[in-house]
Amino acid sequence: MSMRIRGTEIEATFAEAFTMRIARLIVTARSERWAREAALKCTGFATSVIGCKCEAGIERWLAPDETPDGRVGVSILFMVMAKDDLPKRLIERVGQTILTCPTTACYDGLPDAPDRVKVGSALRFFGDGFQASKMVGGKRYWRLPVMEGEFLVAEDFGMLKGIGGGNFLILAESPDAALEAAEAAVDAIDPLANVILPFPGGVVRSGSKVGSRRSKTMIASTNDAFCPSLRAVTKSELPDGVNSVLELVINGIDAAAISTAMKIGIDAACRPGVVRISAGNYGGKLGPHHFHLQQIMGGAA
Amino acid sequence: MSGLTLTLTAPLAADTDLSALTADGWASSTAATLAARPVFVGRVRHVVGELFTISGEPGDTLVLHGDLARAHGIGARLALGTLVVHGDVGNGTGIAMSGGLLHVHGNAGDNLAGAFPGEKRGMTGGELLVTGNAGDESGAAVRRGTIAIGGNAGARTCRGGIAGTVYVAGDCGADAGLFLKRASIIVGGRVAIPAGFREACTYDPAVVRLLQRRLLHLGFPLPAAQRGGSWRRCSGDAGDGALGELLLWTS
Repeated sequence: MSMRIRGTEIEATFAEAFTMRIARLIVTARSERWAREAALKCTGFATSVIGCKCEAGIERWLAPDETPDGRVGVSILFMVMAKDDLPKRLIERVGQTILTCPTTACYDGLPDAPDRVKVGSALRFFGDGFQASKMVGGKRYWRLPVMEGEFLVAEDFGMLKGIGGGNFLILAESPDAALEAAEAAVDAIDPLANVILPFPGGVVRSGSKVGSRRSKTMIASTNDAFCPSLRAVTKSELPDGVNSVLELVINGIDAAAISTAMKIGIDAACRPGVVRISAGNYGGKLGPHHFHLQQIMGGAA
Repeated sequence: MSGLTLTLTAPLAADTDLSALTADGWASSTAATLAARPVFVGRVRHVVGELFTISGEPGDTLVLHGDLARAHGIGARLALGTLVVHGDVGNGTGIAMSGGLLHVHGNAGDNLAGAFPGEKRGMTGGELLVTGNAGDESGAAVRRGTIAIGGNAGARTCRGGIAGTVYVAGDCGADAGLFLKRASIIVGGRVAIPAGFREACTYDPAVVRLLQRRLLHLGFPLPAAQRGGSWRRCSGDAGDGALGELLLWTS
């Protein structure tokens, strides 16, 4: 079935996504500058579990009246594949990037999640016996004395099953058109809660396929079927006239959040110079969550 | 939120022990069963129903109306639910409470959230808010939980506090934090630094802001001026390890 939005074809395909374990960190600081510094460091080098062991991104900025301590803050979504990995990665990241950042405090953004992972209770040992706990509103927090003053961190964080790997591909006539469409899509998705775009600026230029033609040890390699420069030497999936492809990868709390983000992002990406919107999948055999593009865009203009 | 409302029918003629009011099972009590709970007015045994009119449906909230300044032990051993008092309360309010919320819209007497005679620990959990003033030894031997006093506190606040937090928005009387172990006393008004405390620094601990947000959420009348500025930290009591703290608001 053919579907077009403002002249851009929406391919009859689907994005294949995976169940991931997710935590939400609320990082506050004395000023937006330091909240941003902590958030950028914490979510840095966290694009894909393939090479970074975790995926993370800034969900949204928080006004003082939205944070537990009344300071400006930022909400971070943090995702891993295996349940046991989440505490390890959180302890590393919070310990090295938020604990170290001036004026910050770190709170749990999923207080009602029944599954809990211990973070503050492990980081407390940095206090070398001078740490103190404090119960506030039935939740335990750890106060770690640091040279600047004191770092406050929640004892544990909620863990939910989320979804990672929602995606769509922007097939465009030129690199400029692809980038402009991707930027428009990122800007459209940016205000949404419950989703993150873990890649640089929200955009991936190096989509991957499973495995490698040359190496048995590589779990992923370039998605040659979508590389315009390989059109003549590989089994290309690209229609005529496409000279650049960019991908948006969307991780979220649940399928509804990802569907909403895909719908809004795809709609923004359908603009002059964009030939087709496609999606990455593995034939439906690897990931349990399938996001069918035409179904998602069914309500679009 | 459902619960029973008790309204004092006449001024209390003598000191009254209301500690049985929130004994085990109060949250499931009907008006009739709660009315049958014992109270002692002076040395004379009465039942709750002789002092209060009771209305409402059983639930996890109990609301008391009236001048209960001569009623002692209100909220004793409270472990869950919400107890709201509109009026002054007497001594031993929230004594040995371990959970739930006790919110007094008025003044409180001595030994707020303290320990029963012979017991080592006072409050071990929950939240106790007093919008007005409190008497001597508020939070004595507190082990865990939060006590907030909107006005002034009397002498020896948090005496022997093991852990937990006492927030006094007003002034503190003499010998605050005497024999303090690990507890926190946060004072928005004036307090004399006890001899066993040493000044550490002036800073802006996030935990105070967190606590303030919680208190505001519960409807505690926190002075706006205290929601900012810095806090002067003094550690003590030196004779008990100096792991406790006195945080004093500085403008």
